Amino acid sequence: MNNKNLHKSRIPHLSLAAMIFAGASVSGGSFASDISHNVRSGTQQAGSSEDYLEIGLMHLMRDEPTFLGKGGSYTNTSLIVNGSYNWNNLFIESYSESGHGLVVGYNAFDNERWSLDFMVTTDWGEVSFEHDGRYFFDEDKLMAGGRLSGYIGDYIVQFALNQDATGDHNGTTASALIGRSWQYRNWNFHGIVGAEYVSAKLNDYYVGVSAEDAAALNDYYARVSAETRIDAYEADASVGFSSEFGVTYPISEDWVFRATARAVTVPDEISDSPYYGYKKSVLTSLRTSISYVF
Amino acid sequence: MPNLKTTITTNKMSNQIILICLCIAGWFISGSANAGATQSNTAPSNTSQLAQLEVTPKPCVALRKGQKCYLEVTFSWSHAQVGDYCLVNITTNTIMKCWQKQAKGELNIDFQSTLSNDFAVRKKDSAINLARTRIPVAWVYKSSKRAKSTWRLF
Repeated sequence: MNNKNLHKSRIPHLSLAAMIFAGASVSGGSFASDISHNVRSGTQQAGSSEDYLEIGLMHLMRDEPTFLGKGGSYTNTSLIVNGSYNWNNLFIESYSESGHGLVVGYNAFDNERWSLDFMVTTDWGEVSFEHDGRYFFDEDKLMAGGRLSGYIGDYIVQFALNQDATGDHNGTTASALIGRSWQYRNWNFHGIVGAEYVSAKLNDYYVGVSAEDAAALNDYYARVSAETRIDAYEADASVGFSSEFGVTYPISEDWVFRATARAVTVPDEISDSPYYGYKKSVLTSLRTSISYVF
Repeated sequence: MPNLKTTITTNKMSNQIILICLCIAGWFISGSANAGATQSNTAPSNTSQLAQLEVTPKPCVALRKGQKCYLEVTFSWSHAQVGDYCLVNITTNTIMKCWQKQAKGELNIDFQSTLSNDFAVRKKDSAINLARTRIPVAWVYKSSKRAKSTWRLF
């Protein structure tokens, strides 16, 4: 079982190349919003921006590690709202296919090849779970940081650095993503792979168990005659990988169909938390949606 | 004197009305002349009514502006008189197919373009469009380009 003796850092030994080859990588999902939208729509230049709004229905299926007492698979159909508005280099965007919630930022620089944004975003809630394989919490946290996007040939790369802006955990994330798209007739296929580093403070805030909490929980389990026992746990920093493959099809000038399959590694530093009852090292998800574009 | 003033004013108004009417008439004549110029490649209406050209389905929709759009389409044309006719892509100025001694015809093509294309039925070796149609190319996302600049923060 998990205990403090297991709290040493266990950065996954799989190399990024191996993960890409295996088709089961990347996370960095927390920063995938912009790149995922650009890659999907075949954007070829940095600084390509657009004002748009779309509303749709998305069906999600995922197989995942879950907290105690919950199953290992999840399906849901929900309303999605995607949009972007740019004004004097200020922008606001929301993209359900990403791991973000709402993103508000400022484009500080862009040319034909590179674009740099500074932004604040909420991306630690339920919406990001299948993107980064981190935690399943309804609670959003405000993060501040920057992202640098590069458009190199047919590829888009994106590097991002974010820091907790609330002071709740002072956690940090850093990610690198690379993606590209292929057009076959009017079908637009895309793939994204990447990696994400998450600091110990952030991991521990969500999945760490203090000695006091462990004692309180065990006391509760004893009172309800449950056999479950929780050990204290201190989460370390982690690196996760993810991969995404998807297709986008314009049904008409106003309607768009999307389908996306993702595979995300769940770092041991997270899944070793005693909070997790159904443990998996890879989280998979499939999303399909139909959206109306205004 | 008041009557004289009234007469002079009335005369001035009449002149202004005539001038305005002349201007409007001139504008219409000018417009008609321009319309005649732009329609110089189109057959007279009584002739063009004899010909019909349709294409289905349409429009062609690509995801983003600038992407090539793909669509398998069928052209159907007909004419009241049997003759030698050609289907022409006006946008690229290319003859797609010609028919001899026919009054109607069909053509299936795999349309591929980044722009809307206009098509016409013409008599063989003629530049007059007997009937026209268009395959519009549309996009879901019409991206705009941010203005290029250097660092803005400093």
